[in-house]
Amino acid sequence: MIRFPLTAAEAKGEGELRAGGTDLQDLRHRGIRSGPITDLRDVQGLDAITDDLRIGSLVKIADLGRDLRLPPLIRKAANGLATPQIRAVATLGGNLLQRTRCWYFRSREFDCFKKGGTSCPAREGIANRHALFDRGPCISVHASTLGLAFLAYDAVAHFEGGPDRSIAEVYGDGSDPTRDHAVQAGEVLVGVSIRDAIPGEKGGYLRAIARAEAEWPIVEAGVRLWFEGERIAGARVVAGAVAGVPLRLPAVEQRLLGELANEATFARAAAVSIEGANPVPDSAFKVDFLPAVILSALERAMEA
Amino acid sequence: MWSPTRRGFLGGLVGGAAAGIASGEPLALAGEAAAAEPKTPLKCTVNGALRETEVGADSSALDFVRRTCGLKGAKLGCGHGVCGACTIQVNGTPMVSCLLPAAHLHGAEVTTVEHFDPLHPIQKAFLAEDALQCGYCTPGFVVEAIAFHDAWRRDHGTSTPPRSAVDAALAGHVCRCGAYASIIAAVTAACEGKFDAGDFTMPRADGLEKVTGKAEYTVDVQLEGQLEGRILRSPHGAARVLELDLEAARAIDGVFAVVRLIIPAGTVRYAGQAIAAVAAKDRSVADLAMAAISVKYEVFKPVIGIAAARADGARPVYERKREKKQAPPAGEGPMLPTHWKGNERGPASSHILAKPHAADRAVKRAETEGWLADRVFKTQCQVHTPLEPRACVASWRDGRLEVRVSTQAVADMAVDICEHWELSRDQVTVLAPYVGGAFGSKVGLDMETRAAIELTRACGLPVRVVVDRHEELMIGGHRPAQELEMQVVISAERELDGIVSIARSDSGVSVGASTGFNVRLVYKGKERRLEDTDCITNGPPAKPFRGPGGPPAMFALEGCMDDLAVRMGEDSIQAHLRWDQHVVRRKMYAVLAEVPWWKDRPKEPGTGRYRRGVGLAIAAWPYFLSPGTHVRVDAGLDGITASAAIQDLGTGSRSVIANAVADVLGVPPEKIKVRVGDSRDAHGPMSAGSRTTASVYPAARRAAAELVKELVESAEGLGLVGVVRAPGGIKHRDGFMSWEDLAKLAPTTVIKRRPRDPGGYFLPLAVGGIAVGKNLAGAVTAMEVEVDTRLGQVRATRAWLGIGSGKLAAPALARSQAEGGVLQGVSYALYEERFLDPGTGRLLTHDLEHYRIAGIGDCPEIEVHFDTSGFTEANGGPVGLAELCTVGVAGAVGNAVFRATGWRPQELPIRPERVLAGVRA
Repeated sequence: MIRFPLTAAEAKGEGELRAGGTDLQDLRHRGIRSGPITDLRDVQGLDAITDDLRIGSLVKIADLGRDLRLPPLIRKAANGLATPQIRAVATLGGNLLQRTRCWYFRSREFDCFKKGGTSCPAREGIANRHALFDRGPCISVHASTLGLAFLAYDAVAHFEGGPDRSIAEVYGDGSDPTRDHAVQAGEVLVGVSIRDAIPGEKGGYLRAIARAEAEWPIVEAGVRLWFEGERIAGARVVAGAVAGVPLRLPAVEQRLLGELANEATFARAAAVSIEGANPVPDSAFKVDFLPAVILSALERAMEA
Repeated sequence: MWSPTRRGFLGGLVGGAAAGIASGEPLALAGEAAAAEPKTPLKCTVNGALRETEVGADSSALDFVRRTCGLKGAKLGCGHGVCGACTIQVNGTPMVSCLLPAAHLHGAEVTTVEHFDPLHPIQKAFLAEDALQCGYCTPGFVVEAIAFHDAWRRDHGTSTPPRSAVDAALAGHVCRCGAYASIIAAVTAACEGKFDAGDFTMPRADGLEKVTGKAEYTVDVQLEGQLEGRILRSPHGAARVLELDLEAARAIDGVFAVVRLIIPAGTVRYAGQAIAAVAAKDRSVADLAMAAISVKYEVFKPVIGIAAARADGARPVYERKREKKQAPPAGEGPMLPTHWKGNERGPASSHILAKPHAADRAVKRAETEGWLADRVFKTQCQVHTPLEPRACVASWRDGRLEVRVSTQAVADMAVDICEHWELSRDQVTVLAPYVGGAFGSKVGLDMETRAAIELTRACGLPVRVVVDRHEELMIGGHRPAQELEMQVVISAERELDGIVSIARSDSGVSVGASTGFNVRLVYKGKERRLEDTDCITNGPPAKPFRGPGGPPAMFALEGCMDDLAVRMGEDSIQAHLRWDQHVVRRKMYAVLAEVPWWKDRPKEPGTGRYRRGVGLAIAAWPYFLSPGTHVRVDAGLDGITASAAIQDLGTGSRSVIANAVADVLGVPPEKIKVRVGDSRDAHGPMSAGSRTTASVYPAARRAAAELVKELVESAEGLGLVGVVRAPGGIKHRDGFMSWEDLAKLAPTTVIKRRPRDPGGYFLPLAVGGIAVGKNLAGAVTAMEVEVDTRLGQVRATRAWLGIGSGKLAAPALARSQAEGGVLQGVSYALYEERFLDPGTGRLLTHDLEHYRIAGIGDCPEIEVHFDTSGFTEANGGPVGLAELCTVGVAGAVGNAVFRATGWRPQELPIRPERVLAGVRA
């Protein structure tokens, strides 16, 4: 069954929401998802970005990447993910609420927590693209690059007919192995607002990959920095591909506050990013990557 | 039903190909045709024409353009938005049509590759730069590049786009043949306005069909009444089939045939092994039928990986002697005899003309004098994964079997089919006009073909079986993973004293992987211990992959050579000149020594974050040919057509024939029509072992020469006076007559066999239709890399390939193939690695997102130097390039990483995490 509601209100209720379809269709083709679809194609008004930085959930990722009203981290993150043909189709909402890329989850040959199963096959299998912060029992990592970017803004997610929630609340703490986010079936994410962008703030995004382009990250990080004079007055540091949710790293932020933005500061701050890391063995190498990626993202922020 | 006792590689016990899942996504994307699926109206324009139809909820935009609109240029490659072969423009923007719901095209303007008529400058540039090989990915690249070009020209005029802009625009496309260097050149030149007007060259005989999307691959075939076939595969890596019940599947409405592909009580030896196949009216009914097949398995814990195969008490993958004999071959050469012990088969020794004990003594001597390199290397399993998956459309009607199949061997396939189904040659036709890449994986009569034939035989209707990407990645074929213990001894006099190569291979259920053979092909001296052991596991069977055994052998051997040169304080070229007596390679070293970036290479490892290094490795490959190759030339009212029962995998065999005939006739190659990919034509070789060009080119020249002779005679017979041969035709007393005009008056057909090489061959007789030339072909590869020691990324920045090619039968295409070989080598060295789940044997790298292939941004600047002087004893000159250009690349990359960082990679791929661990150690 498929329906094409004309408004977000009509979209509530039955059916899995389909925006651009890049993630959902992949899962359906693989036989991992099935059932009714509620396609948002005809819903009006969710594809705009306003001057006060409310972004409709159907805004294409390509459009996020080129809208100069958006702060640098958002644009860089949007341009840094997937490929041009995907960014032209995929949407903000779909990206934020996408499912994990775990190779056990994406194979219909394996059962797992996220598919209604009772175990995590990655734990017994090969888990070299998995959690650096193991919050169990599922050790997949979250896939949304925009999720980490919006987390760095404490962005507010708007739901049709429901109260707003912070992005942090949208994702939860990652301890529920059955889910990639805490949005319930039937809820309709209609947009996200950035409320605390700082004029003149700097932003940097980086993912570590083997190839030059177009690869899911080994580890990714987004940073925001703003200044009073020469000193760092505020910082947000968020990492991806290290846990079941995008992860904000307050310890790193703390080390940046009040400091000069130089190599030594950045290195000291990046070094504490792995505090509390408890990687699954196959992914223990990510311990080397997280500080390196954060350091590079901080440097990129200063380049901009 | 399947006989388990026929020829080894057809053997039913293991059964050639097979994999996966009882479903997955498709060549028609899942759900596309569900009869009961509710439809939604779709109204849009496609290439300017209004279309109104209904589409299903899960129908993809790709399915809509291919099936509903019949526009077959856009291809399904991966089905997950990674490869870009499906790219179409929607309102002028390139989009990934395999994931884009068809319903989202409502109200849109859709543009596909077929729209661009006359040719867009990008298409002309692709043709002129030969920016394609097999052509399967080409329409996707073209559609994307056109959008980039048009935007660039609008914003920047004819200024030159930077490489980074081209890379970024095309980042969502994969070319498995590795044509990126020419693609970059083509896009850049088109943006500069160089193809806006005027003439351009078309070096590839079938290039026009490929850039316009008109080339029809097996996956594009749609016959009247054609059914969709699917293969049910074992989800278990090790099992016994206790019960197999097909009746419920047969009872489903719309199911036309269900056949068993495994014998009763059959043993399952890898996840993905074929169990049964169904043919139904469409994909969704076929899926229903697959789900209705009831299989009961007794499941065992599979043996996965070399260590598990060798472990005490490991469950034997093969139990009985007869089963062992029927294990499929991992390579393409004759298998060396050896013995089995548990799951180990070997060691097999490549000791013909070698002295293993002398090598042992050399190693012993090195304890007191000289130098010894003694290292263990590990290489990964690399899958072929051509962008056109395994595909077959079979039609058995009125006692005649027509098989359209994506194959490297139309002629041999017809022979195998005749033998397997006990048919006569005139009953069987095999057709493969276009093949979307193969690389060694499509040589045999594999399961998709067997299933399609059994299904059409059972129901009398044409049946198509196309595997999906998951299946292709699992059972399509792979280069075995290896562990190589390599010892190289240099004497106190600095001479090469001995080599010991002990290799263990994980080639799944197949046997006969070899690296010793490759080590034997290089360097002077007979002091060699060369041993290969197969570690049999519950993985899918390996297949020959471009230079079988070569890339891992040269990664290990040249790693040791580089190690020795460094420790001895010798320059790499000097060291190679000391040890390498190969005539052509010695010339290459002199050329390389003058290449500016070689000369300016850093002499010591760097210390900063980014470190540059340049490494060198050699390659060798035999000069193979098929003496029985024939080429036919027909000259008549339809012009001049040359034909042979060969195939063009993107390797350019059409152009090789066209050029040979055109050269002899003194006409431009485009005057010669070429027909390949039809088993009914004059017998030609399979395309494997780099033998096609060396086989076909001399035969085509000879046929053309005979045609000239006969046409000249005909001219005299027609009463023309004073006839003499001239370029393009004849001169006679009253003027000139072209060959074409003459042929219209005197239609002529000639078939000629390849002439024997004047100097004879290495062995007096051809074995299995292959002769081995006396000389070895050789190549030298140099690579420059930049290592990011913070994030672990290795970028291949420059490549130089010196290759002893003999005469170039098709120069632009030879360059393309050589560049592709370098690119595939880089991809192998740095990115590709297959993973199987250790507990179940199931594939984890089941899509092109998890199985990573080099993209356009990973392509180094590639310089190819052809030495055309070699092989004067080969008739007409050319030798094959396909293997030679890729064998040395991983070795050169490894050595370059060492030269950059002082850390020697001994494990492939050289992934970022390995780099960080290595450099920080």
